[in-house]
Amino acid sequence: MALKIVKGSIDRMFDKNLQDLVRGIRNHKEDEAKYISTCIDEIKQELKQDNIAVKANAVCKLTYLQMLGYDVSWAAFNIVEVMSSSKFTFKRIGYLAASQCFHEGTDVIMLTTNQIRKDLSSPNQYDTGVALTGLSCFVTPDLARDLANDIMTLMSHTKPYIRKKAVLIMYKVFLKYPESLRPAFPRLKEKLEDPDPGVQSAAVNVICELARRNPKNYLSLAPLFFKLMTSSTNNWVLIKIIKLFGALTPLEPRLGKKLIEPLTNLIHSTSAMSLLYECVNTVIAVLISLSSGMPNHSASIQLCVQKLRILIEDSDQNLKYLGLLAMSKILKTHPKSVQSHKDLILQCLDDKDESIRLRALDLLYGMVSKKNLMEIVKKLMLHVDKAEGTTYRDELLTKIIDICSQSNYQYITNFEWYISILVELTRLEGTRHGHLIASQMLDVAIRVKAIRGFAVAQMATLLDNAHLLTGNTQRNGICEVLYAAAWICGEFSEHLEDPMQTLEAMLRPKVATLPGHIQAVYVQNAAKLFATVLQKHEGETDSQAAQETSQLLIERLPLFVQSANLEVQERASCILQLVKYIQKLQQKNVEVADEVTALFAGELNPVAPKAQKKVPIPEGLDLDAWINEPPSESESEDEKPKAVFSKEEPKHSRTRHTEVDEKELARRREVRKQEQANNPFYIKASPSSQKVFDAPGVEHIPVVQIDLSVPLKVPGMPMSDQYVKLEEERRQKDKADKKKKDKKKKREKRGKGRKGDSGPESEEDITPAQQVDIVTEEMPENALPSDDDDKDPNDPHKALDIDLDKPLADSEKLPVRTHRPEVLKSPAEDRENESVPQESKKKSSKEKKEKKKDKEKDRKRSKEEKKKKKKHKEVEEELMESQPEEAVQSEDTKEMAAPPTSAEEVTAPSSAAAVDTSSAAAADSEPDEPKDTEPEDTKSSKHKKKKQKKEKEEKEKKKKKRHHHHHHHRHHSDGGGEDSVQNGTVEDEEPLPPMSNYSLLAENSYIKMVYDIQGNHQDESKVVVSVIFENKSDSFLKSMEFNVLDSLNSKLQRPDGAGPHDGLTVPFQLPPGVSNEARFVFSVQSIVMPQKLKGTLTFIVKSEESSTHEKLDFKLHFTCTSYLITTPCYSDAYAKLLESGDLKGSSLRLEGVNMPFHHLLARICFHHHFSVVERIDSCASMYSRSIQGHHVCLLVKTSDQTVSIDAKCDEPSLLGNVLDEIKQTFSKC
Amino acid sequence: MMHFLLLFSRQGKLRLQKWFLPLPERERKKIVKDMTTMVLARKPRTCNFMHWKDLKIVYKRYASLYFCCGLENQDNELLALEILHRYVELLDKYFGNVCELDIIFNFEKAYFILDEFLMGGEIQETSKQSIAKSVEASDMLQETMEEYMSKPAF
Repeated sequence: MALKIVKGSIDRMFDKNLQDLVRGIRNHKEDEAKYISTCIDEIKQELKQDNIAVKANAVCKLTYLQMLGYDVSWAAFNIVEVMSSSKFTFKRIGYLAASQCFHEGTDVIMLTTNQIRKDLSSPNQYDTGVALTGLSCFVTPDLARDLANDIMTLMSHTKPYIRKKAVLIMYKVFLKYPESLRPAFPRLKEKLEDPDPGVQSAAVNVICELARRNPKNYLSLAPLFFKLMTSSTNNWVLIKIIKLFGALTPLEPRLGKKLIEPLTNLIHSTSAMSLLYECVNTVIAVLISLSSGMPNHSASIQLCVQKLRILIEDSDQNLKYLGLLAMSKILKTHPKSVQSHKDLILQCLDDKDESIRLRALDLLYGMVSKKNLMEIVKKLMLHVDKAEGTTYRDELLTKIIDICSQSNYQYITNFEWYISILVELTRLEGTRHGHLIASQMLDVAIRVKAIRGFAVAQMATLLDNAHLLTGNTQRNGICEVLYAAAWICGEFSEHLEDPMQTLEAMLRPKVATLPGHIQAVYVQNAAKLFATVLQKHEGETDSQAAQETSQLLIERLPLFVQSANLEVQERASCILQLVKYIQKLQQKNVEVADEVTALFAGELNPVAPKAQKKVPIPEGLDLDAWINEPPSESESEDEKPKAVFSKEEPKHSRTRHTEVDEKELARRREVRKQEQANNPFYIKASPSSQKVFDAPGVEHIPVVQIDLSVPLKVPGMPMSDQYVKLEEERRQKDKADKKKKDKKKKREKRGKGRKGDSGPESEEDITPAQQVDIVTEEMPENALPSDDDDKDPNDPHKALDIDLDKPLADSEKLPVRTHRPEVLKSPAEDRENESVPQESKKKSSKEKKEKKKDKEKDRKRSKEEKKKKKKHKEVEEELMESQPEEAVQSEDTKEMAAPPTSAEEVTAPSSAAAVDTSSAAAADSEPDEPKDTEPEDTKSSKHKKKKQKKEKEEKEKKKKKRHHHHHHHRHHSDGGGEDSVQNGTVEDEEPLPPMSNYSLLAENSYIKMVYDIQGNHQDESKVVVSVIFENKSDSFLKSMEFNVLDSLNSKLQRPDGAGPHDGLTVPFQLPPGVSNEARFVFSVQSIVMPQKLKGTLTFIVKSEESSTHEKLDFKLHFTCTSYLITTPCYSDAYAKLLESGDLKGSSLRLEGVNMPFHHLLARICFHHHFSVVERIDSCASMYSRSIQGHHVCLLVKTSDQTVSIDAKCDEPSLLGNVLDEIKQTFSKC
Repeated sequence: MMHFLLLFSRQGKLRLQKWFLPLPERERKKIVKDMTTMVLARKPRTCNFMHWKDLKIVYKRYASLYFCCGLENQDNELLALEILHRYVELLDKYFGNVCELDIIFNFEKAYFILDEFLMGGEIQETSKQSIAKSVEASDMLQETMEEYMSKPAF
């Protein structure tokens, strides 16, 4: 054995540590992989050793390798081993490795539950902290379920360091285990008013995240947050709160109205850009929620837009970007305010930063109108030419198409122009969006009947010049356009000038290099063209032309018959045979044109994208029912091959279905026509689609001339520009004509029909160049109007949509943990835990508490108190100097207790943050700000109140005051865990004096012990005794052992294996002047009687020269109150309880109580764990529950220093004892 | 909520990664790859924000290191820049004029500092002093590896 140890330590000298590994990797740049693989082999060897230090070192190295991308999942178990080490050194490394390497699929996570639980309840706050941090990275649903209760308990930990971590991790727990939300929420809510700003900000963070996902459940918190917003000066917190309001306002417009004023004030006053930006965003959200009929908020909108303009004009690219981003949000509801800044936004298109250009593009989308569409698109086309990167160019392309096609081509007045734009876009090299352009071409050609002639001509040109598009094999994306071109030319071939030429173009051998699906369309549409040619030449005496066409097809088609693509092959061979047959007929001079044309007769209508989904299921049709009896298991194998063909079946049934309903179809068509007639956006087709340029009221239209001259000849030249010019002319002419001719009536009709509420200009003045006939997309009859298909069913936040206002049911309790606080450690383990640093915080806060009490008696003003507190602080500082180790903790307390300004200075981002960029300095708040703004805030909110209700005003003022005080005093009641003033009813009055539940246990010249007893929500037979040990001597106290003589009823919980009379080792040592807290679990059987247990604390006093053994006897007093747990109760449930008649009554009278009623209530709440159910004037009902589920109800009334308490409980002796204890509490003061 | 925080060098070498969501390894690698290529392709003096899938990417270069984080859609970009900056300050304070090598050789320290500053993708502590204190206190508890290694094994 000894040899093994020696060997281990020698080995270790040769081990690499992390630094060596990193250095090694850097020195082996050429053969890094090889070097690392030898390192991993070494690590594997190290992991096999027993020495935990070696293992930790190996795990540390693995964590580094994991970052470099190496798989370390094989070492998961070793990581758990290192995590479980009792030494913080290794634990820290283990948890780090776990947080980096573990994920939900890691199976060893299951093994960690107990270890984590142990660490969570460790007396060393850093053990707990490191466990919480790690857990936040890899918490699984199982871990969340098992540990939820432990973490919830930690939310009320005495140390803010733990509290804030526990609060933050709760969010992760909620996500993984949604059932925990309701039981944990009251405590989380409590933390919003935690005295520690860090904890408070953590709670704000968590609730903000929760509320963003499911705002409606958090509306009731709005007043609390409003209070926080007006009182907080920490920008980090403010931003979160303001964001939260952004989520709440859409649900409650009244809230929005209330918010506008404080937010605009903030916008005016703050110098922090991040806060300004958040305010602007929330104001926008508010305005959106109020948008209908609130004209008096135009000032706020103007303010936002102005501020955003300043941001956009800023030289800082970040601000510019965000300004544009926020602007686009305003655009949706207040387009006019944004449109006035068009110049600025167009300017941003020239910015050298691509991200900014993209944001500007987004804005343009909403800014177009009929008037400026051509101009804007022209500008964009220029950018397309200039753009270097393909991604940005592609983005431009899609934006152009988006802008033009939005809301059914609403802003396009001239579709010829649009087709030319599309054709120009086909000249982009290497774009990915050929498909997009193609679908636009198809869409426009199909839905705008009037444009078909023009479109066909353009497409014919495209086909003719197809080699330009396909010349480079790299540019495959764009050849999709040919798909559209071929189809349009074929389908609308009656508009073709020279179908023969197009046909020839479509059958060139080069076509065979195109993708298969395009060739297939080529072949099919060649047949359509063939039909047109035949039709054209029918009746001519000379059938030469028709026969030449047949010949051409017969010569060219065989190329396609040989195609490797099945679709092409099939179509080509089919059509080839057909043409051969036709040729024979032609030679016999048989007229075939009509019959051939009949092959392609009929018109295709566009179908809405969602149409298929919207087909309603006919009554009586059950799609899940078996049509035939399900095949038995054994047969299934034989059935399988058939399944391939079963696809056919639905088709048959479909056709049958339609055949049957021929009559019905006719009827539906009729209905549809009716609908279209009533649809303002559907303009009926002109009788002849040939009347392409027949704009009403316009006789001489120049467009006619270009139609022939420009587009057909020069395919390589942009011509859309010319349309812009022509359009200008046309519009002017239009105007002139309008004056001349009195055709107002007609135009007004159209104006109504096509009017959209978007453009700022009077759009009615602009008439479209063509009679636009946008065929609406078809939807199945009876389609359901609802559009609920956008929600993601996999969203984890869905599960958190839980009503938080309902009272908790018994079934909702969190799972009970198996062990209680790990104070019950085996002595062996404790020995390892030597030299855990102690904290003086406990002591200091406790001391303060007591000082407070004295002062309270003297009824001194709070200001004086503060001064004293400061003095006290100084004393403490001196103390600290002698013990540098404790500095950490006490410093903390100092921050909290110091006057508000200094505390906020520390927590708010300090101005030192401003180093290089203005944005980096953005969130900084001026240190002198808080004090100045606070009274202002109070005033402003008061002001608002005045408008609403005068009576409320004073209350509000008081509330503010109270809150203020609260801030300073609150943490004194920390140790009590449960807070006294959680009930809103108490809050409106004078500040509460500080209270503590800790009472003296025993004291001698070395040590002082105070204790408090708390019931546990989850366990009906256990209570936790928290004892604070304070070293009063100048010596070191160690080896403290806590022992209690058990009674039959109450027993100290000892670790497994310990005898019934063994003491428990207190898991820490106390340097001079330091105090620390330990918790002990007791099991109790009957709780109806108070109990006293005798006990002894033994310890060693170690001074420089000597060490002595000392002991201190004490009596632990288990009051009946300590078995009660503060449990909220709702008034209706309370009433039911009283009605039930199961409770027995008793009463109590207290004379000469001269304290305010709310103080009285607060005292009962705090010291006796009650909660206020309802309070009316000087009468209140209160409720509490014992750990064994007894209900205790109180009715407290007061008049002239006399307090009468009527009480009811299902256990009379418990009630009697509780009342006695209440009496005692008040007799003391 | 922040989804991840990455530190990488100008050569695209990852120096630190923190995932606030438990993602499978493969997805993490893809994100790292996408982030490094996207961020390194950015020209100087462009804004520090990008869109990637449904996340907002905020990055900033400090000397030879890029700090890059992924935010949810409603998060405040300026606040994220602030967080990055604060983290750099914390590192600077801890290491004293921090450079890339500090983070490479003491990467676990960089994580420990981060863990005191952020948790679960949310800000945990805004006060630089408190963070520095808790990191120091934890360090006091943790003897350095070297020290331990030089001690005998029992």
